[in-house]
Amino acid sequence: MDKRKFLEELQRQLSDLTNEERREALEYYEEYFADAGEENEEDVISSLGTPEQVAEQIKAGLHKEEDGMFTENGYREKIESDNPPEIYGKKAEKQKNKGSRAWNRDRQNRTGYHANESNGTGYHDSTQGGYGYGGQQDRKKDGMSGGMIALIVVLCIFASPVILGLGAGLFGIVLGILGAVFGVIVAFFAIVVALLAAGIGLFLGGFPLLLYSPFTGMICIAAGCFLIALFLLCTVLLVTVCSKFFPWLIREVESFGKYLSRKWSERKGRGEAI
Amino acid sequence: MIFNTGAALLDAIVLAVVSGSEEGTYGYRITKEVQQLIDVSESTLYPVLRRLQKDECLEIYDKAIDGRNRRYYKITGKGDAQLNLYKTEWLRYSKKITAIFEGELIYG
Repeated sequence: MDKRKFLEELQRQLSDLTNEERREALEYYEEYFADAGEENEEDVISSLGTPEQVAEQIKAGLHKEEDGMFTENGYREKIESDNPPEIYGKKAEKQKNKGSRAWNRDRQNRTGYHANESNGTGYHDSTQGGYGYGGQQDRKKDGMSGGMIALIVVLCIFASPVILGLGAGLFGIVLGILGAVFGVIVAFFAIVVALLAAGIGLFLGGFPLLLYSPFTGMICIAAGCFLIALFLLCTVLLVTVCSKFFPWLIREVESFGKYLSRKWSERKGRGEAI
Repeated sequence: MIFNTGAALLDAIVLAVVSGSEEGTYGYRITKEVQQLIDVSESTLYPVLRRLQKDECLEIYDKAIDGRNRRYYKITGKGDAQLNLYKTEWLRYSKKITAIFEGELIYG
């Protein structure tokens, strides 16, 4: 990467700043390169870090006031490292309540991933930065300020129409499906019972008929036998469905629900991280 | 360096470096001078300079040099006052730390 490419990329990375801030920063770095001299261009680029890192620092500088630290690994932003751990902290609690091992594993993976990502925002010593930074996050999680708690509560309140709406919609869908399944089951039971009743009726009714119309009576008895056989078949089927299909369905619904909420929290986690 | 440099201390160092030259100094030179004192990356200084400028502790002016502009930073009255505050605080702070290191007792 040469100076021109670096500055172009930096400009792209700063596209969400005001024109003035972007111009100031770009002029500064253009001058910086000029003052360093062409012969030092490569050194400057390698010690500045990537344009992304430089842009991150510029933006961090515009947003923060007091709490940052300048370490040998670069600038460490307090605001930025504060938010994600809180989310993770909350999530960790939730997962503990659920007691699911898979979830915890998932969380660890994501925390690790996040630490690496944060590390990219202005750390030049990536071998040291990753672990040190992760530790920092863990420590800060404990010191969640009252202001942040209030902010989260307010956010939850504002988001509640959406959350409630989505929740109610999902609940409605699930209820609808369960209702349909239940309806089918009831209908099936009714059919089975009707089969039995009709079968017995025809079978018993066939005998008196034999007296004055032997053929009709025999057909009736045969039909009754057929219906009773059908009833037995349906009962076997129903018992199988109830003992195998329902536990399976419940398990499927359960794991789908878990999958959905995991997806959701992943997306949320990523959204916060960016 | 083992000790981290907090934002306030970095501000103080930058103000001190800039106040060291009468006619002001520019980004590259400030970076190099600060780097001789503490271990900071090249990209650390711009946000600091920008903030100090916004807080009116530094003022800027452009000077034509080699057919281009170079932005100079100069300390303002407010910046001077801020630097003095930092100096006093630093003295108080470093005295205490030195005292405890050298085995002197500190009361209160």
